[in-house]
Amino acid sequence: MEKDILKILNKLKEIKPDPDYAKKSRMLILVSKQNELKSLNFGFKNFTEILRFSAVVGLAGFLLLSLLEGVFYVNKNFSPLALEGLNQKSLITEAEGINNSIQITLKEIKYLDQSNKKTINMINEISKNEPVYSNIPMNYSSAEATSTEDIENFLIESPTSTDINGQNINSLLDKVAQ
Amino acid sequence: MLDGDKKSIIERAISGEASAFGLLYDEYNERIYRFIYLKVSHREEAEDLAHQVFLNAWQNIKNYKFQGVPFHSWLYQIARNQVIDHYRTKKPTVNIELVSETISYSELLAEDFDANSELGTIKKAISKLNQEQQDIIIMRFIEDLPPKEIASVLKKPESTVRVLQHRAVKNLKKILNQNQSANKRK
Repeated sequence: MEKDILKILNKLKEIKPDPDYAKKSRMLILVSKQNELKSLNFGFKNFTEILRFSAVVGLAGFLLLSLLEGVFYVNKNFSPLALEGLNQKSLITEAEGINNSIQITLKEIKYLDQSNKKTINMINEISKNEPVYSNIPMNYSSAEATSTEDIENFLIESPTSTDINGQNINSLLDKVAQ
Repeated sequence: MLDGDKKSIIERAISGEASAFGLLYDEYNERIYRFIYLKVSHREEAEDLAHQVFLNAWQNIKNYKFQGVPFHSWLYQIARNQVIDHYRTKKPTVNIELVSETISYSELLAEDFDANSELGTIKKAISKLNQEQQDIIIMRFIEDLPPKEIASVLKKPESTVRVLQHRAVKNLKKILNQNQSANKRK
């Protein structure tokens, strides 16, 4: 049986490709490679030329880039528009800052003026109508709350150093101190 | 034809000499075509694949080195990979309208003849084996390659190839016996 199989297998050697196919396939394979070799040779022949051309293009590109970079650098650092003093934005910001501070100062002045006027008016009214010490409670024993010296100074400067009853202010002060 | 100066022809082919590769093509085309045809069982597919094998070999011949595998083993390796790729990418569907156009009358006659002959029976039996056993049967008993070279193609130890060969023959016998008994029943 095995020998029969081997004999039959040997007969399979008769299988052969079509001669036309073989011829065509052979030609196509060899032509395809020849073309590739040709293009490769062409590439080698022109290699130096391609290298030279690419070097020139590369150098030109590099010079152009460095030139542009130089122009950009000069424009950035030495241009009159680039000076800090002439920078419009910073000037506007600075001016706004100054303007704000001026307004704040004016408001303060106005407020202080008004409060001064009010104080003067109040002092005038108090000095005209009632004695200065009338606001001080009689039972207020603490001498630390208002010092006698302050009150004395105030009364000395006041145009009305005597009360309605004609009492001496100094005697009243003594009482308050006690 | 190539036995005496095979090495120098291969060297010339490696250096890019087309005529040298032409000689190698003439020497190995039949064997490679047969190997592929017995695996794919379709004449046109076998022709396309064999063409592709030699084209790949020609384009990559610079990768071939004398140390290692003989040149024809290298070609069998390419052919084997080509067939594997072919089955991997082959579409499972067949356009019925195109079948009548692609299968010629003479081919049909040849297939009928094959089916009734011993050759047809054994071809069918081989196609029922797995890919590895097919490779071994074709290379060992049809192409007469020694186990050592088959081992280099399959990238397996020689002892493994001998075991696989024994198994392949056994399976082939089994398939043929089954076919014989089936024919007797008819």
